[in-house]
Amino acid sequence: MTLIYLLAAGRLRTYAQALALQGVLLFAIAFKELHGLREENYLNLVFILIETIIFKGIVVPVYINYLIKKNNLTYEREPNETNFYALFKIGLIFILSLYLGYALHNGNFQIGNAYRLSENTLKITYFTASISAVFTGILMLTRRRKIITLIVGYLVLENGLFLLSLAMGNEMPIVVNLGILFDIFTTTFLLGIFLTRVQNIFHDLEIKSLTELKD
Amino acid sequence: MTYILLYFGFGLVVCISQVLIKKTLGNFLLFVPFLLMQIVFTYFCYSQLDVFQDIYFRIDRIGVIFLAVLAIIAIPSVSHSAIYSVERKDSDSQMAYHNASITFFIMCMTGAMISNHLGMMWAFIEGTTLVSAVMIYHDRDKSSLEAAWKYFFVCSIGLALAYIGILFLGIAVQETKHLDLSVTALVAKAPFMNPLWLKVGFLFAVVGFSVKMGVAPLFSVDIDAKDKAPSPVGALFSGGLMNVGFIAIFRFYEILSVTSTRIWTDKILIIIGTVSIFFAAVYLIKVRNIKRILAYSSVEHAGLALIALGAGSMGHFASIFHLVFHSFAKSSLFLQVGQVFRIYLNKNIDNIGGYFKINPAGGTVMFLGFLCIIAIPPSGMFLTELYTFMALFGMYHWLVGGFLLICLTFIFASFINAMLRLLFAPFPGKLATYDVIHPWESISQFIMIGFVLWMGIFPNEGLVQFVRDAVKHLPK
Repeated sequence: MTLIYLLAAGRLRTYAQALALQGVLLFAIAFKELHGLREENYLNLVFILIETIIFKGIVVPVYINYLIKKNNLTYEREPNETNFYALFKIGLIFILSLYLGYALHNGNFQIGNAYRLSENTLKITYFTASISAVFTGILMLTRRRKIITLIVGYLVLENGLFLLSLAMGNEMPIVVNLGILFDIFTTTFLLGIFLTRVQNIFHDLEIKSLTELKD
Repeated sequence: MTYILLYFGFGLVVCISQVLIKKTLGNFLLFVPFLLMQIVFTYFCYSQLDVFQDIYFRIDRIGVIFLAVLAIIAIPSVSHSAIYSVERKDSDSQMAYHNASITFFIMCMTGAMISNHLGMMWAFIEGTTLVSAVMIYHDRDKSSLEAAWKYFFVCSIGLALAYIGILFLGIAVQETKHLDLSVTALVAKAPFMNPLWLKVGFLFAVVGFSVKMGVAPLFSVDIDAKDKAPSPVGALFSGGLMNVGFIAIFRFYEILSVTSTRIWTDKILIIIGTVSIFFAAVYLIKVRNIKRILAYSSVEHAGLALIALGAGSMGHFASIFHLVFHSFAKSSLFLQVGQVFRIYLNKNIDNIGGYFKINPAGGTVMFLGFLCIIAIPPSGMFLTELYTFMALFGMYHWLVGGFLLICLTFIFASFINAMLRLLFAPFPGKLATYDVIHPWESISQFIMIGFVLWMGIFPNEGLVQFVRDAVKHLPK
């Protein structure tokens, strides 16, 4: 189920020209993770539940939407990238992470000895999903030109991380979770403020306007 | 534990009151109790050395060493930042946020140095990123906005990568049926972990924390940040944050050094260090901005410290001393460059000159500081670099060693060029009016550089032994 969801999500991520959709997407991710968590049974379950639904599900998308409206961003289209190509890339990422996940799972990794991971060490579906989310995030960060997409890419990356920490089932203490929550929140917030400042000062939100500093 | 919580609680109170109290005098007076507490806390950590340890915090020697460095550097940085604010007639709120950021920044660095839990350390280091954006954007102009944006963004991504590294270590430790992510537990369990996960985790962590330490591959934003931030902040970045990045990498190294991956780890560190030094050497030939020259030299020294760590034996010891000396020398240079800028209102070395005549005390600081930083013999850094190369050649890394020596020669030449221009070249054009800078503003720099020189001539046995003990648990 996670895999199907992620394929759809991954396609949306590169497909979606309307950035408002990204907010909905993040909400979907949060919702998905919520379901995953119920199956798990964590100690700080309540905290993570609240974090995902309220914070990742509502606050961040709303804020991103607010930013988009405030700065009059309507669409993003990459001139040099066709939809087919984007789809191709996300497919590639997906296959790669699937391979990675299953290779680790079945222990046919050809590095040194064969290391086989037991099912309860690593939730294989989550692992695959999170790795593809991380890859997608990195792809978005490196390929995109608009600042707002970079922020969204960062959020995708963070969501991938979140999923990865679910996958490994190793629980961070609540202090660290709080720290991460606080961190994502302030990061988004500050990035938003910077975005507005950049808009005001440079009158442009292309990353190429930020190339003054170099040697 | 209570004391640590007390420290953070008090620090937060100071931080919040600095946001609230917007009067210049009151705002800066709040630093006095905070810095006093920083010193007391450092002493407390020293007294609790190897005694205090729980899952979140642990006080060990390397932490105490860099805590002491931080406490010492914080004092001149804060006082110079007061001068900076008053000189530039910053608005009250601008200054209030700046000062609160500095307080929070120092607090987070302290937290990262005494963290035992990897996640905890990560959270503290991320904390430094959040406030550093405010500090870099202090001047509120176009280029500082660009620098702040880039620094903030790349740091966030770098730290996300580091977090992946920590998660991979978490997977590795889980296979040994343990869930504890504290460094002590990981060191104990490391020999039983899957080397593949360890290696991948280490790579991610080193790449991620490289943004904080200012080494390859993510050093470029660090340069922009040091260039555009006020000079006292640059001093804190070079003297404090770099050490924090080093400690983060060091913790991972501690874990991996007890496993079979140690030789591989050493190689990675040496490669990263060599690439950093190469980049520094290439850029230094071209760069004309004096602050960027200092920043690239930080890249060089961070690279040297990693190489020393990777070279092993004497190198472990040399790497820590190297960073300590570098912190003192580089912070004093950054603070002094702030004064240079106040005179010339220019950072390009082609447009400045004759500094020795205009400000003899400051010129002496610059001269001695440059001598220290390029490791001319009376400087303590000469000894540490000597040890590094001895360790490197001792491990038969002839090629790397030779290549490094060539790079260092280039760096040396560029530095001498910059220094001679700044200090002795006749000033191009005519300097109409300039701020007369009182020599007492250079006192703190003299003390810090004096320490480096003194340690180079008469190494203090106690300190040397202390540092030796700090790394004695690493395998030779």
